[in-house]
Amino acid sequence: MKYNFKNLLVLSALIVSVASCSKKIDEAYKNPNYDVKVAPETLMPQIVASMAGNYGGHGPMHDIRYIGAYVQNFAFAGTQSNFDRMGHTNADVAQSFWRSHYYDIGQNNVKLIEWALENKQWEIAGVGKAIFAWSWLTLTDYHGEVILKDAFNTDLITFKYDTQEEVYMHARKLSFEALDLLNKTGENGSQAALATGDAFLYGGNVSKWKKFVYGVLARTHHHLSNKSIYKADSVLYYTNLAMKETSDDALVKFAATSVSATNNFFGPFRNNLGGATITTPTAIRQSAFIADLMSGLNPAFTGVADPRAIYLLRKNSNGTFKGVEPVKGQLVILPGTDRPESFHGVSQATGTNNTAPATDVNCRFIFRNSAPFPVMTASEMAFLRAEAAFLKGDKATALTAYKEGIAKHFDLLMANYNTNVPTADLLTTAKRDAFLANTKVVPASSNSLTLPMIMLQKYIALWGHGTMETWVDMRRYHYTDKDASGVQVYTGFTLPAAADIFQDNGGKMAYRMRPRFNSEYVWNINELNRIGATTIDYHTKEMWFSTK
Amino acid sequence: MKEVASYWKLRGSLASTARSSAPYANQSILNFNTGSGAGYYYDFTNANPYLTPERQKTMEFGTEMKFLNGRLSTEATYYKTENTDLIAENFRASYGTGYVLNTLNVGSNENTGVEVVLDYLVFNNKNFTWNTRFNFNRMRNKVTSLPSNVPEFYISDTWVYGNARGGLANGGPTTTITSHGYLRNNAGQILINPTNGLPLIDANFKVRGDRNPDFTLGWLNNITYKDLRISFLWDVKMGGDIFNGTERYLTTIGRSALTKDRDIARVVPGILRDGKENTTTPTQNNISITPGTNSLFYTTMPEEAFIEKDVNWFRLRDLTFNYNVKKFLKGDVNKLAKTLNVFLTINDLILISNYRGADPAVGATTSASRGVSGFGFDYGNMGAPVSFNFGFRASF
Repeated sequence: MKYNFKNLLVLSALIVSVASCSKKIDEAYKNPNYDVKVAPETLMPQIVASMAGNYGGHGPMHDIRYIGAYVQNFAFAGTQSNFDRMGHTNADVAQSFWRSHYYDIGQNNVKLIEWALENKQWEIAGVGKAIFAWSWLTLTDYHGEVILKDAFNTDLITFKYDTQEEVYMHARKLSFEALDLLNKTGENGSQAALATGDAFLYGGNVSKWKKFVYGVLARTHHHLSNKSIYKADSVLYYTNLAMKETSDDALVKFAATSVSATNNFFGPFRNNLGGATITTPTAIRQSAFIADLMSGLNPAFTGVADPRAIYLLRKNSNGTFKGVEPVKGQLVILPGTDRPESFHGVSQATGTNNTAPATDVNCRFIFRNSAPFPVMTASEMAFLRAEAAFLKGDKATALTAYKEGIAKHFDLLMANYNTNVPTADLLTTAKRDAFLANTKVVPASSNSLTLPMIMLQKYIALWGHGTMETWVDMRRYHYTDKDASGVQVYTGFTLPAAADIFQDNGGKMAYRMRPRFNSEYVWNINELNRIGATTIDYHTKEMWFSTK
Repeated sequence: MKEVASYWKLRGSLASTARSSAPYANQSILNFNTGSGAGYYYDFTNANPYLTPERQKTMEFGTEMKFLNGRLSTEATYYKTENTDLIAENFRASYGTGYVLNTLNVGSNENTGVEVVLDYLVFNNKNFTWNTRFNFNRMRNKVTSLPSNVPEFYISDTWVYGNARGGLANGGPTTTITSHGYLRNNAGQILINPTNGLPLIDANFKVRGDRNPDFTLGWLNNITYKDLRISFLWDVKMGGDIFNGTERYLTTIGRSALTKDRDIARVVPGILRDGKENTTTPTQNNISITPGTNSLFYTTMPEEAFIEKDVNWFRLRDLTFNYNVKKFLKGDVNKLAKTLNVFLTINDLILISNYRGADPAVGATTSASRGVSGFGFDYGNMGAPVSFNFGFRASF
């Protein structure tokens, strides 16, 4: 017995020494040339920027330029875009968010959370989880089945895909974990550290981050509106806890210094919206759908000239708002003086040598170098509430929320985007209230409120920045679904002609973005074969969230 | 028996060694964020914290025998080296890792080989000796595992020209040439573009050659006659492929001998890709082209066409004449020097080879580069010069 006991002692001493050594070696021999461990909040600026468009131009803004054509936020100036045709292009085009989620946010956020928890900086870890909750949801809404359980495992070479439902559940789980952390007070200067890391989003305001998390939860419930498990009350519950005021809006800001990477991805400095010449095929322009919708030509709001149009859209030389139809290109708009200016204010009326502007003095809205970019807004939350209440049959609540949705979008514009708007056209609370008093927009009786009104006003409120969310909405309504009274929900929205649909689609519409080509189609192809992502019409396969 | 064989030895060894990764290869590094708010973000590469050292197991056994009172001796060795847990650095993978590039213990390969040495003292008289020695070497190598998602893992240093490089593929040798090649039908016949009569190109890096020779043989002779000593080394290499990038370049600019007949019309032997190429009645190519007026004929030739198969050489590596002139010295000088030799050494005097380029002993890299090196890749390489060395050697 004594002998055994001695052995045990030696053995446990060995185990203790091995366990205590294994950690120390890497710490003792840290790479002297680069940083390998930093304060967690210093990882946050790049992560936050990736929620819009980061130093490398990766993030939702990158992809919005392309899928904006699916939902007709935009249309391409040329006639050759696959996206105008509900198609896709290989080689990573419109697949930036895959990279943003797994790499730009990805491992950085994993470590941010890990190191913040080590430091007992609960609020920083909470923000990390909040961003992941948002990012997982955005990812699955965009791509469908994605790598979830195998994600961030650095020891694998092939990665299994998980279902959309599992990703939704994971986003909710992360949201609750984020709330738990955000409700605690951290140590080691947690709040001050968060304020520096979060300087370009909420500036370390924990209560706003909680609203952001509730916003993510509201989205996870509302996206399932076609399902029998849909609970409108859950949407009402979470939107009530989410952003309510314009000051709550989640806006990614830009320092806009002389370093390109600090500027807004849509601004003329970074110049990512295609060339200025009228024949540039890759340039994006405002669509005919949004131009008509905001200038009283849409049957849902006949004769209503929207005062917000001058903020969002560009006039043409004739002083009107017109847009480009998908596939047709801008050159069919005749006379040329009817063609909308580029988003950087360059005339497209004549000439092929129009030059890109050196500054953003003629740019507005999210198209300026220093303009903030909305990720989630109080206005969107109000529209979620309006639609949920409407679907539930509570029209009074729906009407109140609908009004609030429009009002909060006016507020968003007034608070952030007055720059370079002609003085006479500047929005005021009086203009806002007059618009809300127009019964063509806001019916006097809640019984006259319609689903098309809600979805079209939401479309305007998300135009240009909430495009990924608008795509979720339009897929829920299969682009051209009709409401109970037989009116198309997206009234006035016309799909490209059958002959113009992308050749691989088999006549079907785009329902998902393929996983990133140079990540998955090259290096994880076996798994794509397994889930059927290698068929030529995979991008037309309907998503889990929009099915019954 | 004892009269014939005077000495017999058997030997064997087993060893296991480990090789560590590059310094700090297990610590992912952070870059400075140039965007708003500065801070950091991870570099593209997953520098894996769970890396383990590469393992090498070697097994060797051999025998040594001497006959005829030591005049004839032979040595034979068989060896096998297995490398496991090889560290593949910076290879592309799914972004599922949270990175763009990955570093993992994933590969394994093995080398097996035989070495035989035969040494024979043919003559051993007072004034005349002749010693001859053969040195035979045959080595085989194989990639036994690679990440299943990586179709080809290439050594970038070997990619010096065109679309040919030293790529590793599962199950293949470690000394391959992977390159673009001709597109072929199921029967292996070259497919021809029906619109222009030119061969179609398979723009995938596939294993299309192996640089490793079947065997090498050295034959060393030492002959002495009184004060004269002559030694020479013949060097034989049989088999092994070479990518002749120089020839490909010269062909594309019309300076290769291959292009001499450029004004003669021809039909490239092959099958038209007209939809019937995999049926029992494929259409033979019947489109005549004249390369002299259609430069695409030369400029689109795939690298596969310039992989020279089974390149052999037989070269006189060196030849030395040595003469001891001490006997001509007089008096004190004679006493001072123990020996005084005059010698002439000639390197690479004779080369007989079936290689079309300058010299088949080529390499794209130096021996300092990583991996199995870039031997067998010829792009602008010069032949080894014939060199003469003349000198005196004295000992006191």
